[in-house]
Amino acid sequence: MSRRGRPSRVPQWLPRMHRWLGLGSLVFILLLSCTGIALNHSSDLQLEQRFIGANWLLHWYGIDAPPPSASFAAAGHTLTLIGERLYFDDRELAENIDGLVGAVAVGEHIAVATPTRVLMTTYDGRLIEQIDARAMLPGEVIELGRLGADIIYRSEAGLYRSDEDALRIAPRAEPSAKAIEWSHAVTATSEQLAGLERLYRGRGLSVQRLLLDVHSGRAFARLGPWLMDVVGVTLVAISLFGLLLWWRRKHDSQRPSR
Amino acid sequence: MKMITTTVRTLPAWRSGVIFIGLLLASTAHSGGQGRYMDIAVFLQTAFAAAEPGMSTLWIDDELRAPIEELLGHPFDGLRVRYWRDGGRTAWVFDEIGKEQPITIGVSVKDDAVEIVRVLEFREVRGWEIRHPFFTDQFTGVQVTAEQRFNRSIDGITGATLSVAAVSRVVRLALFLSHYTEHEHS
Repeated sequence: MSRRGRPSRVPQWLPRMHRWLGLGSLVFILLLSCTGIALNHSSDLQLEQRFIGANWLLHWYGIDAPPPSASFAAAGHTLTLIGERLYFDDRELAENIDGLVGAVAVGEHIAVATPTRVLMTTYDGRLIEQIDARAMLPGEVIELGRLGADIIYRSEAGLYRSDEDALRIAPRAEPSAKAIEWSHAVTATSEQLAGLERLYRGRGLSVQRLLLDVHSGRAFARLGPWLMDVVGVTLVAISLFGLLLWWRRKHDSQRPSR
Repeated sequence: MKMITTTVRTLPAWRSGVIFIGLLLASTAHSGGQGRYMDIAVFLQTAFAAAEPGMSTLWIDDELRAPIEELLGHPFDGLRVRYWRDGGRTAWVFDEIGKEQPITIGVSVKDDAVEIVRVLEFREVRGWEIRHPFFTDQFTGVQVTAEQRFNRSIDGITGATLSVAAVSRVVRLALFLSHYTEHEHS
């Protein structure tokens, strides 16, 4: 019955359905709105540079650290390569690293060699610079060592040397084998590896990716996108039901009372 | 002599259109742009045709780091930058990430204006079109205003937005550091 005591032409199921659909989709509307707003301001909020540390979420995503490719010790510090990320003790030094050949302490710096690059660091693990080794010596770096105050590089083309700043690399005559202290691989302790694994996994899932996946439903496994489709259809239904309710009630109110 | 006759059937226009679009999509879908296009040595020869430049280094202290990071929009890795100089000309090589992988870009600067921009190595999956001269040549003669904006517009490339942005950042950085080394640091 309408407020004026006339029988309403609005079917009784319509407002009830409208209400329950509205309540049922409330959580999803909030979720979509909040994630949508956050993603809209993704670059301002630097969401791509923020990472999720929750272990269960990383596990849910299947993000695991690959085994370390190599570890070298220099001046009491350990350089370890995991995937494409290079770690200086327990902090990330550089990414997109194509291999680890050796690490030596010379003068005030630690030199770290990859097949194509030389990274100079301070003793407290700050990166001084990355040098494209291919610009200064032929072939890839195979081995790294030191001789007095010089850094020694063995490339496919022979032996080369530079000073501790690695400003210029020059060919060097082969000295006696004993003279050069070559860098040797070491095995990182299980404690170190556990810490590095946590670090590696901690950079595996950005807040932006998580929000995108929640927004699209992909975070809820294979059924997620379908669930979001249902939510989308429900929102369309709510809009249409609401419009229908409004139209029927407006029509009822305009009918002359008997 | 036996005459060989062949019948050439003409494809309907719509079918030719579908094949053409298919071939076009197949050719554009292939990335194939990753690679090392130019050695640093070759870039330096291009930039300093007449003489071999001397290598210099610039230490990035906190005072210099702040404007650099503002220009780049992200933290700057490293405490030292090496560059090449001859007379009033400087050359810079930087790695800058477009989306996920670093792009190695070389920039030479003279009198606070860009002379040459070259993409030396491209590692991203998309956006490799930035290596072509039709894009890099746009920077020739470009300067920055006091607000560190280019004094003329640079046309982007559809589908290579992040790579274009990376090149623009590196060019701004090279112009800034060149000005710094030429006028303030020296």
